[in-house]
Amino acid sequence: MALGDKTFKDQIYGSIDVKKAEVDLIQTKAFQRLRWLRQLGFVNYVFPCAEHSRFAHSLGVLHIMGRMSHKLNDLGFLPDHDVDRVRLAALLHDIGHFPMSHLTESVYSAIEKQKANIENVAGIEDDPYDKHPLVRFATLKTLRSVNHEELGSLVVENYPEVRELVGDMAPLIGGIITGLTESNYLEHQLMHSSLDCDRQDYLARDSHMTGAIYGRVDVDYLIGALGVGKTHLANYRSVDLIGVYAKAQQTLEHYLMARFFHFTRIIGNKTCRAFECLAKAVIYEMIRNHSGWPFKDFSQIKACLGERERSEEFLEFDDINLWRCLREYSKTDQATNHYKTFLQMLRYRIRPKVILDFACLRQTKDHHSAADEEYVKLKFMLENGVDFLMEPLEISDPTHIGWQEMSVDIERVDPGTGKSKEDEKDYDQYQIETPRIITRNGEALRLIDEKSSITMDLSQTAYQSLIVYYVEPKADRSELEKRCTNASKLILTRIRSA
Amino acid sequence: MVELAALGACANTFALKNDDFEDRVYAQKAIYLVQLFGMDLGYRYAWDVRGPYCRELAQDLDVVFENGLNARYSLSSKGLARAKCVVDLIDKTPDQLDKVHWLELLASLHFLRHIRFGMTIEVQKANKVLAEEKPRLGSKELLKQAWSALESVGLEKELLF
Repeated sequence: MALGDKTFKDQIYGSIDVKKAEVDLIQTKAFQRLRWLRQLGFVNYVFPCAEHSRFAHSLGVLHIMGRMSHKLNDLGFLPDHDVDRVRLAALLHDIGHFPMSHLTESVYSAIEKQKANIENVAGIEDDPYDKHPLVRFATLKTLRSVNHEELGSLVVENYPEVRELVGDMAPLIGGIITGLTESNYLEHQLMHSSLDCDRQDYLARDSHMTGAIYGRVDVDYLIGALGVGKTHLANYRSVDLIGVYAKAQQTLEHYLMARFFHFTRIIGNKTCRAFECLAKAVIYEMIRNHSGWPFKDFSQIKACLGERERSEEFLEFDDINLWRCLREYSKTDQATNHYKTFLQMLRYRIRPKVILDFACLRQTKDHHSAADEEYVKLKFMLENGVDFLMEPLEISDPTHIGWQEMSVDIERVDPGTGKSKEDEKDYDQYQIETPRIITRNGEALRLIDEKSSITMDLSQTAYQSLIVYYVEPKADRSELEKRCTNASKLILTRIRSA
Repeated sequence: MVELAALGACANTFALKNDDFEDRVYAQKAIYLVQLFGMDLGYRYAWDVRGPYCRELAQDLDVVFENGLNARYSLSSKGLARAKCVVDLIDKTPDQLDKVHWLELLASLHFLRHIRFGMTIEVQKANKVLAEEKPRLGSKELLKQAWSALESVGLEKELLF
């Protein structure tokens, strides 16, 4: 297989060989847009070097996909033309990405949800979060109804320059990107599974760029130990699935654990999360009210991809333009006072004060397990409104109080995270995406079924973290510190006596 | 929780339950179909053993039932008009099938024809795949009834058998 039509230098892998067809795609305006999308939102507010872009990440995913697909090709499982296709899918997997990492996806999801509620539900007319803009995104965790994969497949199929280059492969590549349409199971696993090329690159790249070492795993050994084995899906269909040979079981488990720590320590950093909540609140208000921002909802974003003459508009959907509009809108009379405050805090990194920070472990099989009684009580109180925090904080306006919950488990290893996922145990999607070990007799055994697996036990536990924060840009920091410490003590006393 | 109001209201209207596997299959297919009638709740489905399945919907349904959102919200007149199209389909359940399998058949045929392969395929090809993967639902008579039902509510047009 001829590679090396062009070579990019890369901090993680040294160099990345790219084929002519891929270079052509990289040169398209739609792909160049990825240079203007930062990979990690506001993580750089805590880890200052995390400034890398979706562009660099996409090249990294191409590199990992190249290595994984070559390995499968060598093993006789992926013909040359399929290798070409999955490489293109890897390169283009983020081509529909939203600005500011996943923050804007959440905002558009909230907009879509509100639209659906107002249209279809009796008695819902007002915005219930008008007075609590920071609470809007506290619990919106299960649904990303708007997602970059769907938009990515539309770019591949409709953006003229890209469509021309991928030709008839467009629907197949789009299908691999979304993971929703039928594709070869091996291709699906390469792009959507515990061991997929996207996860492998972001773990290595984010770790390198943040300087946090959690993500340093032995990717070379993992890829070298890749194999394909047989398993049965539902209806007793026998299929080939990717796994790693038994000798790499611990490397695989280290990789899964590394991702767990990556999420809990980097993505889940409490300061980053508080800044991200501020960002979501301002983006939401700006999108709703600012005439200068053309992408009012998901259908408007998709619309510019549906018409050839409007496709260039999509190129404006980036971090730079979003920041420009955020600033522009703050100068208008329409912008609320809290919008202006939040935006200033974001621009100048004035940290929201985290007043409560609870973390606990929960058994994933039990939705209600109370590993920490105080955690459960606090969450219950927060879900019923944040007004109870005003008196301890000595404030009269709840607008500046926010909270946010996150939950991290060792993804896709254990199906038993509640009754829905118990159902999934029998679903093909889970079976295909869960990590597997290739046994000596050629079986692709689920890691969870391997008796010596340490992640099997750990995977039945989820880490949960709940933060409550307060936004006060003008107060004297030491006075604020004192006030928040007192408030925190008072609130804890109330939780304990509740 | 208000984010899930529309889903709660649908659960109310369709009397969805979340107690056992069959309940959840029914809920998945009812929501799949109501989205086709313009109530886009944002759930995107993939093909699975019992037809189109959305993992995020399964998680959200847990939240809806744990918090009683199905009793808290009801559909507006516009929402009810969309839901009625699904009710009309349910009313066409043939004698030889229960409602769960009927909705499974309808949603599966639509998904197979329009979504699973990334493009619209011929009815005959969708029938063939369905008969292979779900032999119990793949009789000629049932398939014809299902396509007619989908045609009657405007989800398919001018089908020739």
